[in-house]
Amino acid sequence: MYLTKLEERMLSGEMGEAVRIAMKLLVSVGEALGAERLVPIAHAHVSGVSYDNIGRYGLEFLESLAASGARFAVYTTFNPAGVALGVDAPINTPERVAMQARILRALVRMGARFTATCAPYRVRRPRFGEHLAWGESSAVAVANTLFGARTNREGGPVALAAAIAGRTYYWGLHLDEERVPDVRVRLQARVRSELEAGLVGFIVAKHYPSSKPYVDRFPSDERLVISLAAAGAAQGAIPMWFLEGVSPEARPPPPGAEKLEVKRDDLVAALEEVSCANPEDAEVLFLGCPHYTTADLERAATEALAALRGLKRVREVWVAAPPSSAIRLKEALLRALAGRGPRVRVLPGACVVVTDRGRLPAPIATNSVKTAIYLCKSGVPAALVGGAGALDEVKA
Amino acid sequence: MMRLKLRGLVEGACNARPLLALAGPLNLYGDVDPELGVYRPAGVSISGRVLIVRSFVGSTVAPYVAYALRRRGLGPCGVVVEDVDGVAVASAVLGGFALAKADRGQLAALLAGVRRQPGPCLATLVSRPPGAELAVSCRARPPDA
Repeated sequence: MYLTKLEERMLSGEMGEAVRIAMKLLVSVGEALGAERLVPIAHAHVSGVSYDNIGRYGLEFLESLAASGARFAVYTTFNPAGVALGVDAPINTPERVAMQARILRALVRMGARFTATCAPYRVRRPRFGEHLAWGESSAVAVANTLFGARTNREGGPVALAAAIAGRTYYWGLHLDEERVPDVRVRLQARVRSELEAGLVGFIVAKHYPSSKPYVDRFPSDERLVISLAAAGAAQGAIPMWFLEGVSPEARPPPPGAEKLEVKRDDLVAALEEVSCANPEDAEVLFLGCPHYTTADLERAATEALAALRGLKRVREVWVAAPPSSAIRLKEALLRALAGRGPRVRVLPGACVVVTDRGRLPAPIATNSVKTAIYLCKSGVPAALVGGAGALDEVKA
Repeated sequence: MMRLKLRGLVEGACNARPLLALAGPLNLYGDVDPELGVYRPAGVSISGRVLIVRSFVGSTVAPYVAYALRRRGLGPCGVVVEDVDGVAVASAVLGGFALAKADRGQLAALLAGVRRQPGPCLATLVSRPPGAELAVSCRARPPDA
């Protein structure tokens, strides 16, 4: 791989041990993939923040990096934690809070903004054509699809290394020639809710897990694009969608590309396939995966009301959000429920997917296909809810 | 004995290790229990084995799971993939296992052959980037208990 004079000095250890380790990881990954050089980045987003994900060894890795003097060279944000960062927290234990605090402290010590969100695009909106190094597979797909910014799916430690080095390997979606759709999806079902958008993502990823799909007629609604992206990245590894009329780089795939039709019946079948519990048994309704922010107040209220229609036993509604949006989201939901129904709790800076899942109340109902996929994989019963009418009729 | 020339991505060597061919792509986060080294969908151990998977999908946290497996001595010895991305390579670097890439379709004959064998198969994978070689031999009968 070609390295500039400065990059060679970084790799040699002349600029400190942390920079050397970061460069070593980036160059190893880049060379394995055939990258010709590195590229400077504007924003790094680090995944692998929850203690329940990275455990004792991940914590040691981060703390030793911070102690060795590592500092982030570019604007850096990080993913949600495994415990809620606020007084509303329903599932915290003192031991986990202590371990989680050590992880966050290490990240902030290295210079990260205190974000704790899987929606970094709401903290700093990426510019068209900008190079990023983002972990968090859903955010990666949103950056490429919605903003025309350029990032690969960076593994957690690679995004961390990119933050320290201020650059990443120039490969994959950083290159013009890779930003081309390879599957044509004909959407023949109406998509109005997050549930429906997520089911489309699941279906496409199930058939083409590592594809870059072109979709005609997808609604131009940021929140629905986010749900589609999150599901495609949880079921598969779809890093970028080309949505007609929505994505700045949308264009049909070359002739001869494979085709996939998605009909309403496919959404109903996918709903059954992803769910592993009966919605009528659900005790908690979980919303906000990916995180809702203050840009989603109306959407969150609509989704909560739609989801609650089929739920009889739900005691609490949990909403995940960045710490900075938590209070306004809670107020919006309380207003929507108008004093009736279940208790509303926000999970600031957290996410149930990355919590100590054995302690979650179950079954959990959710409008998030990504959440249902991960909870069901971990043995937590989860049911998908919240269709915008069409799906509910079929189920009933 | 079946032999394949592959592309070496991350260095490593596995000598006559049990082969595990997964039907689909692998999401290390969720599919694998880092405390036990068990691939949950099939309930089988991946520890010390050579895995064949289509690709690494899902969470970008995968390299930390690989790192945790390695620290517990439960990681795979080597992995062969058809599609590769940064998550797969970073997982191999942090997880300390060999990684090699096969061309699309290159594994089909091998996998079909492995499925026809009644006994277990052993894989020898040597990855020395840019080259790698995979050799698989299967026993005709299951071993005696």
